[in-house]
Amino acid sequence: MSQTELKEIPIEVLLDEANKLLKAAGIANVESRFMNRPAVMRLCGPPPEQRRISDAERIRSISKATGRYPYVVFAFRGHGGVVCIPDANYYIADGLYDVHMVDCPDGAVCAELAKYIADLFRMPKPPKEALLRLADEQSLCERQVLPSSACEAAEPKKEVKKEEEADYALPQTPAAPPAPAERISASTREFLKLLYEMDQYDKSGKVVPAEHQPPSPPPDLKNLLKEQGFGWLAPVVEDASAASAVRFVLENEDLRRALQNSDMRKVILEVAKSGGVAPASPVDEALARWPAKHREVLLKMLSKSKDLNTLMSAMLQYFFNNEHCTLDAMQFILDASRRAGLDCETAAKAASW
Amino acid sequence: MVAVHIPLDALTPSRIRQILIEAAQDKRPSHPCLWFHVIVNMGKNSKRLKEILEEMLKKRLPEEAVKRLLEEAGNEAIIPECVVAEAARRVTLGLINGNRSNWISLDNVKLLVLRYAEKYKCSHEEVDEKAVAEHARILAAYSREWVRLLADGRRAGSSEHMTVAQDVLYSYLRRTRYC
Repeated sequence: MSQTELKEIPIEVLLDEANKLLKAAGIANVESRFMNRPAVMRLCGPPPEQRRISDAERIRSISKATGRYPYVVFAFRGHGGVVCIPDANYYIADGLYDVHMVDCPDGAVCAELAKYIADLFRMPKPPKEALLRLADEQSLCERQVLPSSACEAAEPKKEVKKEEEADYALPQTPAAPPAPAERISASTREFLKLLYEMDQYDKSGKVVPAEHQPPSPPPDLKNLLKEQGFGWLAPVVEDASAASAVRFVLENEDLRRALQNSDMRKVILEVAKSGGVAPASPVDEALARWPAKHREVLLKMLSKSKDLNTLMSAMLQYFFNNEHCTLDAMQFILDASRRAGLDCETAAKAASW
Repeated sequence: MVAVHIPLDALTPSRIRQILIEAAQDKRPSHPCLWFHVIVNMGKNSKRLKEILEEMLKKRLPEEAVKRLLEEAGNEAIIPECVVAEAARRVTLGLINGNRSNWISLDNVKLLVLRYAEKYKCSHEEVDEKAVAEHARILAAYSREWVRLLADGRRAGSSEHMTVAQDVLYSYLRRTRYC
């Protein structure tokens, strides 16, 4: 939590890293000065959350140990005010504070930097209220400085409620938005979703089979066929083996749905014609042209990826041979390249010279 | 009493309790984020969770069935104590490296839990972080117990500083089960 808790990394190294981050974002003009506690408190404002003061005692003892750097503060000056990392909750010890003043022409860039520097020093991220002093909510959301949940809450019109999530929403009257206390938090929503998914799977990880459901009386097959829109099959089910096959299809919801879908019906017919062997998909055909080694790597990456973004970061890890290529790092590299005007067009020109 | 068919996918308090215990006993595969969410939704938040479940059930079932389900669940906690302990164990296990012998600090449980959430990209917002901070005190009881058992003041860690060697803690936690 505190700066000196990072025993292995000297504060000078962390400062160097922070300056590199600022430089990469195009901020070269960082004014550094020593200030006393009242001056820092005037600059950074009152503590945003009183509860963090409980850490004060612990940090007091740490401030003695740091030697030259009693306490390092990054102050980002935007149009709406100053955001400090760490925030004013941690200004407890009298003495010198090493304050780095960063002027922000683009508040959103500074907000992003503030987040990265807080991460670097392992400090809590600045609260949303503080970041809004640097940039408006929309640009913070665009740069992914605010958590996606906060952005979704800010844009209820754009929110597309998925069918499965709708079950977890409390009943709401359409006229009035729900009070904050009535809203289900992101964690609770995901918790219920996970529990729901786990409930759908039996202990071995397979979907609960139909026999686990409460027994229902066997309905008349012909009536059932008419209800399901397969009335034309009624004459066929006089034969016992055909009847059992038809019953199997009717009781298997996935198969029934698949048969009602014309595309899926084609696939099923093709599989049936080829004696149960599924035809090669376009992806399989494309992969067949790849070298076996690359195919294995891709499969490994795909098995660990959740979406295209995580796949991309896994590919970066592979090509850079560096495990630090996380999703955030990839986003930062892309943003930094865009800011530096380095896009594929420029790179292609440079490569052709 | 009229027999009311309760759909299988209706999450009831007792069903959740059962799922969580089975997951804690490794009888059911679980997502790493489940344990983070257990920590967020434990304690006072479990009452809120119960209310949410009640609302959800009311949307899908007749009032009589909901009443019966809630009576069935009784006063038992949705998240049992052993599941909370198991969540503390799994979160810690998820963060440490059993091949390294350096000491790690278990002093700031809130930070550890949030780091776990970051690592596994578990959804959370500020209100959840506050919940973690509130529940950290309860979880700290477990980490204190581990340090007290394992730290020897020399290689394995120091109880004074709430630190313990990663490999020692890993091997202990791997062998421990709470449910």
